Amino acid sequence: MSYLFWSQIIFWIVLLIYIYYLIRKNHNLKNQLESIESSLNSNEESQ
Amino acid sequence: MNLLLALTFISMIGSLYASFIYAPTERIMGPIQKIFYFHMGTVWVATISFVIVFVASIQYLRKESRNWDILAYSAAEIGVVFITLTIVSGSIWAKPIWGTWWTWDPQLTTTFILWILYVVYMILRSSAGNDVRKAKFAAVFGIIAFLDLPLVYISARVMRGISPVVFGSRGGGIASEMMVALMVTLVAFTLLFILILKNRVELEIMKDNILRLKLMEAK
Repeated sequence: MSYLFWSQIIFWIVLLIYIYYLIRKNHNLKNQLESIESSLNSNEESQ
Repeated sequence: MNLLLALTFISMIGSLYASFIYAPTERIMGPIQKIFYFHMGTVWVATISFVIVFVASIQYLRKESRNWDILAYSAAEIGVVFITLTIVSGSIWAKPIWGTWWTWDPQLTTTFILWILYVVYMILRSSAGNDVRKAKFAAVFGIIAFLDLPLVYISARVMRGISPVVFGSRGGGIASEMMVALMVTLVAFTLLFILILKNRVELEIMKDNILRLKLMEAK
């Protein structure tokens, strides 16, 4: 039974690592998008 | 989005309950057979993913729309993750049942080839970047790679191997409670797949928007 438990743990760890990777990527891209948009807005204002 | 997340979460809990509590323990294999439910879930998601890569790649070559390219690439990534989980969960099941983590059985071999093919597709597509010619080459590869998928299913049924066939003429079938657990698991994994695919596609669209804005900024 403990073998089955550890197999589940491995399964969920792999899946959660992938979901965490997607969340991090989403966070990084959102930050990038916001910084570019603010820099474009400040450029427009200065012109 | 929140509704989909809630439904996925609830169905996953339902799947765990159905697999580990509701479904009876198999007489010969014992509790280790319960890996079967999640193993089938991962097989199911990988299969849907690769079918989407196949269809989206054809559509990309026909219509040259970036949306199809995004869909194919996103589905391929999910497919690779879930086919990896399929191989890992299959090996975990095989160790106590067959006495080995891995054997070059026809179904296992064709699954391993499938994994390699889609990893190569991922490398090709990610290295192509915005180069349309290279992206089309990756799409052609995505179509060819799909040809291995039917072989995985046929190999267990036609070729002589040790992989168990549960469904089909040679298969023994499963008890009705086990079938319920399997169906609940497949529904849960389908919802999980939709949730991940939706997010993965949105990430690619966001990447495109960043690139477009960077070009605007550079001008």
